[in-house]
Amino acid sequence: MPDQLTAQQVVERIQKNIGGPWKASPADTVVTGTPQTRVTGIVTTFAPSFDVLRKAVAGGRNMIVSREHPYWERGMSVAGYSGAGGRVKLQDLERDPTWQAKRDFIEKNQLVIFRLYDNWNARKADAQLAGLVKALGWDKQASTAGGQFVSVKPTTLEQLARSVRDQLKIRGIRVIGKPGTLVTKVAVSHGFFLVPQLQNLLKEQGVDAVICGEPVEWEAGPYFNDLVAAGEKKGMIVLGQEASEEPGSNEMAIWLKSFVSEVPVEFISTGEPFWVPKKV
Amino acid sequence: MTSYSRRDFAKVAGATLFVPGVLPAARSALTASQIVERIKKNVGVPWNEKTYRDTFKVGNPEVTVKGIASTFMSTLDVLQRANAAGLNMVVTHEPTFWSDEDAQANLAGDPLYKAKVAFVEKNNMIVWRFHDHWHARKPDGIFEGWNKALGWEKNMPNPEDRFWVIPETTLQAVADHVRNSLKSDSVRVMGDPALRVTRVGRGGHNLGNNLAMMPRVDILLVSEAREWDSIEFVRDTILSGQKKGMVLISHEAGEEAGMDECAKWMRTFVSEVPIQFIDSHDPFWRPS
Repeated sequence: MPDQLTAQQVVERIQKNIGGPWKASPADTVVTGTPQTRVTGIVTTFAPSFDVLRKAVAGGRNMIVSREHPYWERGMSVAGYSGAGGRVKLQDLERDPTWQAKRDFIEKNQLVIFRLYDNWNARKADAQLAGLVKALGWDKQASTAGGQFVSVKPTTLEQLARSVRDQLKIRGIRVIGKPGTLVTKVAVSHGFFLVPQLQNLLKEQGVDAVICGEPVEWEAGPYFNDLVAAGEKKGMIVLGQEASEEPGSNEMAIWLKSFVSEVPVEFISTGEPFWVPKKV
Repeated sequence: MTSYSRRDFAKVAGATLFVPGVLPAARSALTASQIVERIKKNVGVPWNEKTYRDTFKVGNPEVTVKGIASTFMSTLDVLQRANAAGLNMVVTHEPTFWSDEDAQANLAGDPLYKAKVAFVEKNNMIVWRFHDHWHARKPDGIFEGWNKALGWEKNMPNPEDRFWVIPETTLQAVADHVRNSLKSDSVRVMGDPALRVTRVGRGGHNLGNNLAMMPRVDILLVSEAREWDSIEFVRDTILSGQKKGMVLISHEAGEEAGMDECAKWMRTFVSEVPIQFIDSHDPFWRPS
């Protein structure tokens, strides 16, 4: 029986265990490969990059459950985002040498990539947040069950940014606010970060610093800048999309193992995409 | 970084030299609406009356203009500095109220929104956005400024190509040059630092722009792009074995010099009031 486990069966188990009614979503689908594929092992990851796919194949795993799309498609119609530009046309994608190389690799290795995004986000307990809070080493001191708000030993914004950078081992961290701002309470969020989310976090009393993934530079970024100019003594620490979401993909592997025991389940880090030049 | 450079003061001083024969009374009558009419007349491209971007955002368009600030973004900090410099009209490339549409309906109860509006009204200021038509101008006003700031104004043989050709160097050297010339601490890079570079493509905020440019160049230079698509696309391009890279800068670092250009340009047809470029500053810093 174990060697008969198909990708379709894994998807069905995911749907059954998601913790609520599964909602049809254009995102949460088998993006590559055929559902009847016999699964040899499962990899969870933030983005199924070329590197992640190679590691999966080298480890003998042929199913990937990812947060992002192998062909970089989320569509630009993200709710609440005032970003310009429509979806990239399929014929433009198909002409691209990177797209072609990736498709060839996926087909050759018969990889099944299942994207789990909307239904994972809709779960009551935010595992992406829990993963990030744990990665930050704050899961013991989080003041709420989900870990959204964390009391920290009094520090400055600059010291906090430095310790977050070192703890997550990332390079491309960016900060808004005065470096000397005193911080005792931090609001943690992950991923794309829009103004309404920021407004919500700021409703919590005493938040001095906000940690987020990717704020738009004509939306939540300048909103925060204006907040500082208006006299609020607060700071924002921007981790980057990948750095803020990656720990959640590890949580997803732990969760999958709770109902898939026939094949190995492994988290593979996509890794921070950036390096930074030396400071001037 | 709240003080203005000597250069900026020189500009103000230069702009305030009165044109002989123009009486103070005539100058004092100039309204923001009249300034915008002159901009429309001078920009050299047909005005798109349907633009939702290039419109007044807050303040009274009939207010008497005492001075004009040209800036990348009308942040509260920029408004405060403009006001302190006696400039009550702000020409901004980017939004005032934190969305492309400057949608204000959902912000009515927001204390920061109220404070920003109150500051503008109390100080008789007026904010007008100048985005689409400044880009549509030939040459594109924003990219003219960007080229100059990089010292690459002679390195784009064909502006239609949207790529620069520079003497062969490394990705590391390009990243350092961009950091230094644009004075930005928030530069992020992808690719082998030793990668040889001669062609630098001007990417865009959207995947479509970057997908189209990448095959034609060694690296992309991009001012803000979404990390779930453009960044992951570049990552895969590099991982696929292609010798490519990317230098990613803040939106502000890429576009602010274009509003310095805008200030210079406005001085060619507005001589009654001072016109000053105000640097919005890179919004980000990083810890040492």
